Amino acid sequence: MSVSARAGETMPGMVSLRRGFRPTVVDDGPPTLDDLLTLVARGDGPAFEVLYDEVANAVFGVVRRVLRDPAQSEEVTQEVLVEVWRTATRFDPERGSATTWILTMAHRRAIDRVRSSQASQDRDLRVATRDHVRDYDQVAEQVEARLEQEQVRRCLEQLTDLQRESITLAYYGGHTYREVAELLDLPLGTVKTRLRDGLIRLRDCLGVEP
Amino acid sequence: MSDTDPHSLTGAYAADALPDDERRAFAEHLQGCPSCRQEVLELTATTARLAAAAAEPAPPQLRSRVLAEIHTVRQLSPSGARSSERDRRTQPWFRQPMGVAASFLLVACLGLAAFALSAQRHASDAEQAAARIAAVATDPHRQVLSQQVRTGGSTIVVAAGGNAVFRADGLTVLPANRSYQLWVMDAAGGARSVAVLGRGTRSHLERFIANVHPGDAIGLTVEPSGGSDRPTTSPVVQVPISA
Repeated sequence: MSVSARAGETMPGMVSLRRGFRPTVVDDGPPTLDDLLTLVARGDGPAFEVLYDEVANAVFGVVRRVLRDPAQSEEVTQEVLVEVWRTATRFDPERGSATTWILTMAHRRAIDRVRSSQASQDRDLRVATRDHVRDYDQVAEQVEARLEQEQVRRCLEQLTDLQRESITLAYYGGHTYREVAELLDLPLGTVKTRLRDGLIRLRDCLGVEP
Repeated sequence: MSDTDPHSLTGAYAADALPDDERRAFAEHLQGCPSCRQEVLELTATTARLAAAAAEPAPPQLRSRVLAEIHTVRQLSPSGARSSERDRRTQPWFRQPMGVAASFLLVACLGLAAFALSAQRHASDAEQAAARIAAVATDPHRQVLSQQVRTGGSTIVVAAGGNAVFRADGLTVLPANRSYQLWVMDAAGGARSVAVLGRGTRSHLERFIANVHPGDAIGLTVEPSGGSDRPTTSPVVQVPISA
């Protein structure tokens, strides 16, 4: 950011000098999220803004899927994104991509909320009183989400019913595997196995690389 | 019953479905089980895709609140969490951290990208592009075609009414002198360039493609960074559009 801003500040007599120092910017495509996080770790605010725009919808979406209540989801989303800023220095690219790191943190925070009993009371109360309507238009983001959903849905369809139900109840429903076993009336061992082999099949179908 | 084979808990762990006590016990088990750790990495990357699929527009007021709050929050100092230099050198070249020169260039690119992003957000061009993508993605007669990329990642092509939308996820990030290039390839062996897509990103890329007909294929190749007039390498993925 600072580089392009400086290049625009042309002063008489200094133009050629500036031009001499201007770096050759090759069109390299947009920076990757991993690159952005590296910059954020160095305290780069503009990089954080770009990162925010890239991940905020996914963070909000998964948190809301688990918590349901928009107001609580908003709070948790804010916590998660500030936590990304605070702990960006601890991100280790060898343990997965930046997207995975951020979304795993988001899901985990949502689960923590669910598992505290106070939260579940709040959740019920707020769901009953809250207006969910939003009056703005974000066509592009919605379309992107739709395409991602399409692919994930296609892969979920290839699982057995038990695999799919176990995964969605646990991941989107925020239930422990013990609760899933109770809900589906299955032995604990079966649910553990279905979660594992279902996710392995999903991994292969989506072509996931850690 | 749950204590017989800790290895089988990788799925429940990746889905955040373990009660706290079992989660702690399994985290300890992971310390001494490299194969479990590898599986947890892969399954966690998988559940992150479930998260991404749930995306919905975040409330607009949240952005300014988060940006205001980070000004008041100190960042942690780096710890030993990152891997050692020795480990780094064994990494494939395209995953090694950037050098000083590269990060300088990246800061420059980032400035441009941020500027382009904000300018684009208000331009009617962007709205039109979004509307065109939406028309394809919601067409009741759309074809949805999905394929793995040979070199890593996956693609989905949605085709409807003579147009298509291409999306790629988890592409291998290319070195600085290479770019992905997107083509419409016809049955006669011709190829029309759609776009030079840059080095790729492990999140995702998306492009609208006009004039796509049955018998054509959507192909992605790796080219020198400025792109090529015609494909110079065989496609890393090629998705045929059926009738």
